[in-house]
Amino acid sequence: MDEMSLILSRVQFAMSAGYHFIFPPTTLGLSFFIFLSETLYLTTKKESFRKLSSFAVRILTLVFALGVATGLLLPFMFGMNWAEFAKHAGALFGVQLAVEATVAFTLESVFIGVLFFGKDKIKPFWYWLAAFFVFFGSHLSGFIIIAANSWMQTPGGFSIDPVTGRMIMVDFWAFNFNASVLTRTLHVFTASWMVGSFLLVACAAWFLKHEKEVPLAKTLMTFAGIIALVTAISQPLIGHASTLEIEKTQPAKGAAMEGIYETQRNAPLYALGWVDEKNQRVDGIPLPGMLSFFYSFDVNFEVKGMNDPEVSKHGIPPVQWVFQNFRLMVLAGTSALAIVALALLFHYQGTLIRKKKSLTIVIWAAVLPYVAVVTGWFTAEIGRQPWAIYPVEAMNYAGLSTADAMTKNMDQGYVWFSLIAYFAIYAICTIVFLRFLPVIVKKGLDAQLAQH
Amino acid sequence: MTELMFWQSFWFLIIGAAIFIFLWLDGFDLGIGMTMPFLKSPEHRLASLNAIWPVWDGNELYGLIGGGAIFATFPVVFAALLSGLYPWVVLLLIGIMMRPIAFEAWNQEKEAGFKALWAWTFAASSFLIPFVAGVALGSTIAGMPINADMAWDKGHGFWEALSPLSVLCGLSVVGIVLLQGSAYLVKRTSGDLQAQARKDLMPRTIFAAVTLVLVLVTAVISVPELLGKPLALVGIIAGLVLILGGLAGVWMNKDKGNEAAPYWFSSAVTAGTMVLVGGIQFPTMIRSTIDPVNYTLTIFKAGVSNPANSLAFIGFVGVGALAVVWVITFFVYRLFKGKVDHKTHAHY
Repeated sequence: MDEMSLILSRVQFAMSAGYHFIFPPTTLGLSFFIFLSETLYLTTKKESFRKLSSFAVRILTLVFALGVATGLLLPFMFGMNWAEFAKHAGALFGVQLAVEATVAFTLESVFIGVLFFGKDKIKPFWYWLAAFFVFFGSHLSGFIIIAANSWMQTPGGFSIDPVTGRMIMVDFWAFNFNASVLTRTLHVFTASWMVGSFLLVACAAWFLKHEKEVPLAKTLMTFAGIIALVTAISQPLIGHASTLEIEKTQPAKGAAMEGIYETQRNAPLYALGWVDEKNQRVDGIPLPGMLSFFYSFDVNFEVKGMNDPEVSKHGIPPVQWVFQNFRLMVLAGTSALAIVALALLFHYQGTLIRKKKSLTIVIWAAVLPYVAVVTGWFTAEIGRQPWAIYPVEAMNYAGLSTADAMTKNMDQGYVWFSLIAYFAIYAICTIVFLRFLPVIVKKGLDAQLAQH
Repeated sequence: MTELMFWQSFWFLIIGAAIFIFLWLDGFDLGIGMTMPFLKSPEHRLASLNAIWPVWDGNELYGLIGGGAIFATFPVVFAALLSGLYPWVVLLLIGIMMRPIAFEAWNQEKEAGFKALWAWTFAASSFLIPFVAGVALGSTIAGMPINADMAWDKGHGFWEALSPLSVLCGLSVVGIVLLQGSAYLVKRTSGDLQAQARKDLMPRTIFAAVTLVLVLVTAVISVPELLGKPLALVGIIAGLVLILGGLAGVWMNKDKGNEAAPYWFSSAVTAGTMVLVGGIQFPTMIRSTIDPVNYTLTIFKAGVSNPANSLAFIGFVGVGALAVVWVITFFVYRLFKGKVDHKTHAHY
């Protein structure tokens, strides 16, 4: 097998999925906000909620278009670079993607059109229903994709065809509601609401900083700020539930996240550190006993390390990558929480509008949840290595390694070609996003949607 | 006919139907996109895009549904097709990705130079999608170097996807899409723009007719076993009836008469094309040029499809899901029906 083609294909998939993963969480976050605002508008009849919802819709159209553009290529990649995966798991994974495209994605794409163009064409209740369908469709779509990915981590619901050696769907619900899906979905949804609300908080901060449309900007700061605060506080708890689940189903990933090689009581939690993979140690700032405490509220709890044969029986992932991405995610998430908490405090005191430097920080803080989302994704997926589909002993399933998942006889030149092409398109995408997001925002919180 | 064969044929039909719906619905917006920069006034350019604005990304979805259906039911075909045609698929993906980006950027851009650049990018990607998709479809008919491993043989270069038949297929798909585009504009616009769209109908009808006839002739010549396939004659006759009837209908309504007629007749051309392609292909998914008899990937070949219970399960899920989609699609087309002009959807 050609090692370089494998590396390039992996880099390409990581780049594509990671880049795509900027937009869908924003879509989920904004659609959640729009649905809440429309509900409040329907119940309170306050125009300000309608205006804020329209503001979010205008951002959503740009984000959604870029999400579609960057997402459409992912299923193709399974056939192009990961043909053995496609053949092995097509009966399950392919079905899942087809269902996503048919039901969930149709719901959101069609009703985003209605949200944008239909405001004056339909009655408020039907418009609210359209907002609900965008919210429901985008979250259903998110669930279906996270379920497929969770299934790669904790497979279930299949059997192996004795003739072809490929998978057969046995139980669609066991496939979807696999061991890790609930915590992971909740973790991604909360992250998405964080992403969307921090983006809107940043918009509110921009208007406050330039003292434009101040009353509406204050409402947006309160509204989006509360969502941001609540999600940023609950996220570490949900994330913690996720790590407990990883400890059970993928102990190697869990040990790599914390850099624990030797099984030990009173295991330290490294606030920061650098993994010395050769000497199997971590240089950094340890908080003694904290990891044991986190796992069971008992510092004497025994944490299993990567040198335990039970932990490393399926191999261990690249430790440094998993360890550092995990730390970056936590760091970005907690900084975001601190910033929004302070901003809301100043906002509550009524002094935020005078603190121009703080407002600048709040604007840039919108980047932090994105950093957390992408590094969290990398933690989960690099931590899954060396497997594309993780082995399950209880089902007597030996797994599919990432190397075996790649297309046989993959042409290295082809992968270079696509890698460069996709990279160029993502660069264009980024330019378009950064150029037009400010244009849309600066048109104002109370700008027209589409006229008829 | 066994239960497995029934479900394999069922999915052959559904995948064909998905490609048809893709060509039918996304066809008109690809056709409109392709020629958008050639329209003289900015008002016409905006009006032509207003006709497709609320629906075009929903239309593009059928391409994804077709691809997803192949992935789910014939994973071997999915893998062989995409890994074999790798560089061509990259071109297709460039088109698919650049189109929404160009559309959004064109809409937001104020500076004339950049706006023109985005308009041309939109047009180029609208051309790339049907052309490459047509070449890919044509190369499954003409054949690819598929070996005993059910994959593109390593000793054969990517240019072997290009044959007279596959290039002609690319051109004829472009022709059909262009015809759908101007027919849709006749239906949805008025005034000068509608007059221009009516004028475009004649050359586009001729182009579609010529390329479709050439595709059929080349296919019969270059694929010797084609006429011996079970549904070939039925497909060719039924397809030609629809195609010729549709083309004649467009021709008769091109200058005056019912504004919606050219669109429905051009849709018949699209339907006829897929009936014809389905007829001359069944049960082939990808013909092998190395050994057409033994290596061709047909839906019945052992190991190509998933087992019967999988296919049946997806069949029920798929039909239910499509029913939901159709209700939604119907609702949205009703909501946005009627004439559009450059003022219909203002900039945001």
